[in-house]
Order: sequence, then C-alpha cells, then structure tokens
Amino acid sequence: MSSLNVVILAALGYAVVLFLVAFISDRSTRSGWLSSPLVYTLSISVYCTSWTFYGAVGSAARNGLEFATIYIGPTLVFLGFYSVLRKLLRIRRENNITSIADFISSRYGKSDLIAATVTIIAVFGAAPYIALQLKAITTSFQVIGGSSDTVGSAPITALWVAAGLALFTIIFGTRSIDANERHYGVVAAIAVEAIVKLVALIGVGLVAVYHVADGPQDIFNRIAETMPPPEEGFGVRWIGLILLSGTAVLCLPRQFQVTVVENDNERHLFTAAWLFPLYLFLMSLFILPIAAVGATTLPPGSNPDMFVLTMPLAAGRDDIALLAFLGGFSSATSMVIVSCIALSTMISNHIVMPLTLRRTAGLSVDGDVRGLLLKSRRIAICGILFVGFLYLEFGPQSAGLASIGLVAFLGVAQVLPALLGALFWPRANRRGAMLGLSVGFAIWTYTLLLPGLLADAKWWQQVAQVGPFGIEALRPDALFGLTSLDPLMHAFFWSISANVFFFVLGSLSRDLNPLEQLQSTLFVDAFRSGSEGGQRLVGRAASADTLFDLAQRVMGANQAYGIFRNYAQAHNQKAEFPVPDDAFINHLERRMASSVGAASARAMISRVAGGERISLDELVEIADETARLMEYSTRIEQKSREIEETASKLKSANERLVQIDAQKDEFLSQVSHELRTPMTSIRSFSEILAQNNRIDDDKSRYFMDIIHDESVRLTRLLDEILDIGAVERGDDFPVTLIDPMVALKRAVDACRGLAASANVTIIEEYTDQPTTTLANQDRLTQVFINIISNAIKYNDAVNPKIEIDTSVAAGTFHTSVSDNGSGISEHDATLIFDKFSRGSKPTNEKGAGLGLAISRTIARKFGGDVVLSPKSKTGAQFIITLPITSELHNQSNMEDALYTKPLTESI
Amino acid sequence: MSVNVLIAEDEQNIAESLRFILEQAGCDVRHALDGEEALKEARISTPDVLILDVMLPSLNGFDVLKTVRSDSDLTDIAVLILTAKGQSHDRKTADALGADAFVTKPFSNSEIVTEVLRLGAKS
Amino acid sequence: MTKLTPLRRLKDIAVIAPIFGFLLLIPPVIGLFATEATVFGAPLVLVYLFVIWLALILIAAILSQRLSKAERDDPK
Repeated sequence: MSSLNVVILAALGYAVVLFLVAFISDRSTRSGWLSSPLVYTLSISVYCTSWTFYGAVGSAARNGLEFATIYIGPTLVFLGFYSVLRKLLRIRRENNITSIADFISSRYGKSDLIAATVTIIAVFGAAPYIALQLKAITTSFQVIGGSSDTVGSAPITALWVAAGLALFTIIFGTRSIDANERHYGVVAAIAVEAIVKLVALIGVGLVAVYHVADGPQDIFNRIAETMPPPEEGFGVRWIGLILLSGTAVLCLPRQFQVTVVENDNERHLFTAAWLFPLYLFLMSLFILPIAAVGATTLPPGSNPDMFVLTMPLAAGRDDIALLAFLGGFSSATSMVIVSCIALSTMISNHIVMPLTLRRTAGLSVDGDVRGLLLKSRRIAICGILFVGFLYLEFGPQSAGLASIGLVAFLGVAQVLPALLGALFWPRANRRGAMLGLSVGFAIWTYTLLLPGLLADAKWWQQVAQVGPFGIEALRPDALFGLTSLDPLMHAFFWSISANVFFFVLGSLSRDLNPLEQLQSTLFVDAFRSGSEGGQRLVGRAASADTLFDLAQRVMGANQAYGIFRNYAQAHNQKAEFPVPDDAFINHLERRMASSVGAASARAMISRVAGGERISLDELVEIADETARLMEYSTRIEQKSREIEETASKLKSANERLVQIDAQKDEFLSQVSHELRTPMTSIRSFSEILAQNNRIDDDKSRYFMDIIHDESVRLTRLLDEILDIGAVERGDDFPVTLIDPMVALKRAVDACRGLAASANVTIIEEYTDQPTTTLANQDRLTQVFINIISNAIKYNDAVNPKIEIDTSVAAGTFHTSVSDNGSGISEHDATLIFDKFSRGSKPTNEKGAGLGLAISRTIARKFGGDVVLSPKSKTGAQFIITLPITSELHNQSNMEDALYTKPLTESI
Repeated sequence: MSVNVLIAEDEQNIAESLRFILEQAGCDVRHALDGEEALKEARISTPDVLILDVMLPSLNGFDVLKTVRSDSDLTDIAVLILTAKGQSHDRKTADALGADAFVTKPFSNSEIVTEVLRLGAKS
Repeated sequence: MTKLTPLRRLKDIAVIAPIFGFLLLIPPVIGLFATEATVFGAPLVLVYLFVIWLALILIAAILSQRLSKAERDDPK
C-alpha cells in the first residue's frame, strides 16, 4: 500500500467533509432534503456498524449464513412497523420522550429509578460495542497502512480517533438540550456515511466477484467450497439470533435515538419500513462472496474480520481498499457518534439530574440547569469514549467483532419486556419493570459479560469450572445444569426468561398507582387518548413567575419565554404570561421533559407546584374510556344482531300470518260457497212461489219442502262451522282420564237407529283389555258417531255391513271402522279430511263436509288421529287411534300440546 | 222458436228451480249432474245456452268451458257461468275463457231468465 | 356486524406478515432447503434465504403504501 500518510490524509479529509456537511446542515435547519424519508432511512442504517462492515464477512467466513440473522430480525421488525414502531413514534411525540430510558421510566410512573437502571444497562452494553468500533478503526488503519507489526501505534491511533469522535459529537450533538430540536448536522453526516459504507461494500463485492473471481458462477463454487455444510447452522442459535437482532433494532439506545427520537414525521416510517430492509439486503448481498474469495485467495491464518480490506489489497486494487477503509471508518464513527449522543442524554437526564435534585432536596431548583445538563453531557461523551478505549486496551483481546456485538445486543435486549409491556399491557407496573430489568441485567452480567471480561483471570476460570463457592448449579456457563446451549444462547435463555417472569410477577403483585395508571393509559391507548387526553386530570398550582423562573433555568430564557408566550397566545390570553392553571403546568412539564426527561421534569415541577393530585375517578374514567368504547361497539353489534334476528323472526311471523290469512280467505270463501248453495235454492223457490199464483198445491208443497230442507241444511252448516272453530281453539272441552270403550259403545248405540233404517248390519269385536286415555267423553263420542254414521250413510253395498274392532298395541288404543261398500278412490282419499270436502260420489247426503275434518281435529287434540287405512281392498277402513294414559301426570304435556299447536294446522 | 238450454249443476234443488223458471219462460231445458255428462249432453243436443256451475264433480265448470270453446262443434254455444264463489278472479277466469255471461248464486230468477233469453236471441 | 374497513384488514396483515416471515426463515421450514442441492451452482438455502428476504421487502413496500393510502381514506 501507499504510505500510511495517504491513509491518514484520506481519513482526515473525509472527517473534514463530514464536519462541513454537519455544519452546513445545522445552519439550514428544517430545509427540504434533510427532512426527507430517505435521510431518515439512511440515519437508521447506523444499525450497520463496523461489525457489519468488517465483522459480517468474518462471521460468514466462520459460520456461513449465520451473519444474515442479524439483518433478518430488523427486516421483520420493520415489516411489522405499523404495530410497534408507529406506536413508539406516536408516544414519543405526545410525551416529548428523550431516550429509551426516558420512555420506559415515563410509562412506569415517571420513575427516576427505572430511568437510571435502563441507563446503566445501556452504558454497560455500549462500552464493549464502542470498543469494538475503535478496535475496527485501529485495526483497519494498521492493515491498510501496512504497519500491522508496529503494535505500539495502535493505542495512540485509537486515542486519536476517540478524541476526534468526542469533538465531533460534542460540537454537533450537544448544541441544544431539547429533544424536539433535531440534530440535523449529525443526521446529515450519518446519512452521508450510510451512503459511503454501502457504496464501499458493494465496491469491494464487485472486485471480489469480477476482479478476483471469474463472475458469479465461480463465486458460487467458492461459496460451496468454503461454506460449512448447509445442513448445519439452522438450529436454536439461528432462531435466537433473529430474535436478538430484532430486539436490538428496537432497544439499542442509538437505534431508539435515530428511529424514534430524531423522527420528525411519522409518515417517514412508511418509507423506512421497506427502504431500511432493502438497505440491509444490499449490505448483505456481497458478504458471502467477499468471505468466499477471501478464504480461497488469502493466505491461511488471515483475519477474516479484515477480508474487506485485505482482499482488495491482495488483488492490487488499492483504490477500492481505500474506499473500503473509508466505509469502515464511516460505519464505526456513525455508530459511536449516535451512541454517544443517546447515552450522554440518558446519563445527564437520568443520573446526573436526579442526583442534583436529590442533593438540593427541599429547596427550589437552583442555578443554571441548562448549563449543568450541557456540561454533564459533554463530560459523559468523553467518559463513554474513554471507557470504550479502556475496554479496547484492557478488555479481552481474543473475541471476534461479531461476538462482542452480540454481547451488547443481549444487554440491551433486557429492556424489551418492559418496552413491549409499556406499549401493550395496561397492567404492567413499575415494580414489574424494575424487577424484570434488574434480574435480567444481573443474569446477563453474570453469564455473558463477566465471562468475556474476566476470561483471562485465574479466579474467574475457577468459578466458571466448578461454580461459585463450589456450587455446580450456579456455573455461569451452565446455570442449573443447562449445558446444551452455547454461551450466548444460554445467557439469552436464562436472562430473558427470568426477566419476563419477574416482570409479569411483579406487575401482577400490586395495583397501579394513579400516576402509573394515567401513564399506562396514555401509552397503551396512544392512538386514542390524544395528546392532552389525560393531562387535565393532574392538578397542581404555582405562580406564573415561579414557573418561568424554573423553565428558564432548564431551557434558557429565550426558549422559556417562547413557550409561555405561545401558550398564552394559543389560548387567547391577553397577558404576557398565561394563567398557570393545571393545563398550562402540565404543558410546561411536558416541554421540560423534552429537555431533562419525564422523571426529572416531574420532580422539578413538583418542587415549585407541589405534588400532583390525580383525580382517581376521572382517571378510572379515562382508563375505562377505551374499554367503554369497545364495550359500546360490542353492544351496538349485539343490538344490531338482535334487531336482525327480530327482523327475521318478524319476517317469518309475517309470512305465517300471510299464509294464515290466505287460509282464512280460502276458508271464508268456502264457507260463503257452502252457504250460498242452500240459499240459492231457498231464494229461487221462494221467488217462484211468490211470483206464480197458478202453481198447483202439490207442486207448491214440494217446493216448500225443498225450502225447508235447505233451511235445515243451512242451520246445520252454521252449527258445524261454529263447532270446528270451537274444536280448533280447544275451548269448552276439558280432558279427563276416561275409558274410550264407553264413548265408543255410546256412539254405536246412537247409530243403531240409522243403521237399522239403512239396513246396515253392525259387527262388533272389542278387546277386553281395560284402557284409559286422556280425552273428553262427549267429544270422543262425537268422533266415533261421525265415523260410524259415515260408514253407514256412504255404504252402497247390496248387503251393507260395517265392522267395528278395537285393539291395543304399543301404548295405543286402535278403533277400526270398516265397511263393505265400494270404498274411497285414491284421489278422494287425499281430500276427504279437508274441510267442505264430500268426495266425488253424488249422494243425497247434504252435509257440509266438515265432519271428518272436525273428527280428525278432535282426535289430534287428544294426541291421537283419524286416518283412512290405505290397506283395505274392499270398502273403506277408518282407524281412530288414541294414546293410552294411565295417570294424569302428563296432563300438562297434553295441555302444552293443546295450546302450542301452530295456528296454521288448525284453521 | 224456443231457446235450447242445458243446465250443468250438481245441486239437484238448484237445477230443479232453474228448470221450472226457464220452462215457464218457454225454454227447452235439459239437465246434467256433472261436467263430463254436460259435455256428452251438449254434443247430442247442441243447446243454444249452457248454464254452467263452476263447482262440478268430475270436470269443473271452467274445464267444461275450455273444451266447449276449443271444440268446433260446440264453440257456438253461449255459456252462462253460475258460481257460488262470486270472487272477482272467478269472473276474470270466466271472461278469459270466453264465457258470455256470469251470474252469482243466489241469483234472482228474473235475472237468470233475462240473461238466458238474451243469449238465446243472439245465437 | 363490524364492517371490515380496508385499514382494519391491512392492520391485521401488518401484524401477521412479520410472524409469517419469521416462520418461513426459521427451522424447520428453512431446514427443508438446507440440502446439497444447488440452483445455478449456488446452494439452494442461500437462494431461498435471499429470495424470501426480497419478497418480505416487497411486501413491506406494498403494505406501507396501502396503509398510507388507507389511512388517508379512513375518516379516523
């Protein structure tokens, strides 16, 4: 390679360009392209650090496809952006959240303890991660500068790099303290770096494919040659890494910073949802080819983490190597810068500020809070970088880039249960979050962080081998005897399981206090409660002057004045300062929260305005509002279902009514017809008699007989019509336990006269088995008389005979009445039970044709029936059946049968 | 010349009163008890006027009317429909099938006589 | 009956899609493709992984576009 100087010059030149970009962008706040979804997406790609740029190739060379899991997790999270990320953005905007620690603490009752805990976890997770970046930069310097043997220069390089990064971050990252003011300069610089690292990696990839190898086919051969067998590598670890990377893209402080805090337009997320996964896809595309070419062309023992540099160097493409170096430099610096901003904000807001407030307990907030915040952030940035540097120098030297990154991933993953609980579980509370976080963090430290840090320490090796104090079950790499998982998955399993367990247990162990309840509602129902939704519930009082005094210390006089002035104007208040009512105090608290975090802002406001009184009733109301809305809509749904049901019932009832109405019309029309027939004769003959006085006596007597007969017929007809109405309604015949034989014998006796005059012989054959049935004696006799008299009247045989038999079978009393006449035609058989049907045989009989219909109706009322036997060959055979009942107990059933019979059947 | 009348009516008494009043008015009257018999009788005697009850056994009045109108030997017979139902749809059916007059039971004797004589004069 | 607005349906898809993608990319499904077989000389599982990945990105693009439109159309 050319000299080290060229590389240093390039790096410095690149750094200057970045400073310029940042500087210009910071001046032109809120200009067009800076607030575009593309820049937003590129800033999210700070996810791809030097771990990706250098480490992914190393990982691919060692473990094949496994590197891809780190990018698949985020792809899936962004694919599901609508449910989680969008809600995070909304809540951040409504509540002026400054960091992930602030987010968690704000949800769990604005607890400073939780905020501090999350901050500590984040710092612990970030230190090795930042060290990783520094390591990547220094190593790449050595490789490309050709001075890998001059070990002594490495710490110096690292220190220089760290100092430069600190400077950049302090200049562009701590200009303001308000979370609502974006770090445009930083974002712009990171977007540029995102492009550089993508172009660089693709450049190296193209060299690998077309310069060193002979195109894609050769690459595939090399991959097949160098990759571990495809059957391996898709086990628990594969799944775990996808979950872990998905978690990291949500919980890493720097990701939360760029994705959530720096977002100023929710709609940008809709672009990032696919563009960021696409970015990851493109970054991953050439990882395997580079790894394969590196492994097949470079001398054995080369560090695969540096293939991205050494491969183009070996191929003689120094220009591409330099580009790759700048890409790696970009990856590392962007990560460090954003991490430092996020962590320093957390440290100043959640550790420094609460400590200051505690020290001045009981007094008003003194001094320049804003100055204190800025100072503490700047110091924190330097501190973080210094810790990273120390970790690089004195931490474990052996681990690959990827494994260091994964340790950090699992560290911040401890925040996930509390984060998801914050978004979706209304019952989640501070105790649960605190327990889950600390237990998870402790297990992670013990099972993953310490084994890495203390790998070389003798006493730790002792602990790792036999367990602390010789307790085997507590061995850090085989907790409770779990040995089937590799160290990362082992730590993953135990820390996350315990975290979730204690989070749930703690949350269920007590009810939410009012403030927690309020925050829970604001977070879980973020899309419904709206920005001012719950704020009206919090009541406090302080003078406007006191409040202004506080605000200007935190945010500076200009900004504080702006807030007061704008609020007064927005609420149509004439005075300079707004009336310090509850709404304004809450508004002010939220604005202050964007500078110092929710917990500190609340603490400060409480100092001057007293503790908040939260109206419990109203709170419950708000909390219940969602539930009520849902219940309301369920009720409406139910109502409309009921209405639909009722409508369909009404419809069928209506159909039945229409049917009944049609039957009634038919019945009336038949009745009218039956009545008109005798009336026709009566009218006609009476007119004849009235108009002709020359008719002889015989004739006029004959005519008057006809008139009389027809009048009798008319009367009988009317009686029958009334009768069938009564029978069908079932009124006026109470049922009792009777012997049907009594009714039958009475009927036969009544018909003997008729039979004698018609010369009909009656043959009787009765069973002697005593039976009882539930019926009405008179009505049953009427049925028998009707059937028997019909048999007599319609018998046209020469020697007319009728036969009456009774029998008992299957709980039924059968009465058969058969004659030896010419029988009933098939056509008539279907009609005779209809009303006003008389069969087609012309007879002298002048019944209305209601007799059989009435008989059948009565028999059915008693639970029996009257049928025409289809079997009889000669003559007609009617069978009357009646259920045998020995006790009165099922009378009620009978009555049910009586009254529930549908109308349709009875008219 | 006297009008030839065929009465198709299953009610014996009604048929008898009709016969009496029409004979008094100078008509030549025949009687059938059901639809089939009425058609048979009509072919034999080719009456000028057919008084047709709707509710007839074996073949109802409308069926008889249809046959009469479709049979070239019978089609000239004037048909008076006699019904005890008197609903408007019966009247419509009668008109559609080509009945010449429609009388509802119970009828007034003079109405029947007037109608029969009118129909007889036409033919 | 709740009327299924386009937004409501898309929301459900947005929840299911990542789960579906996850299931496609973990064992046992991905294991089915982890064989010695090759496509145009490339290991089958490699091709499978990248094709599914690209498909998921495509789904994300379509989904976000539809959601964005549905949000504008939805009165709420």
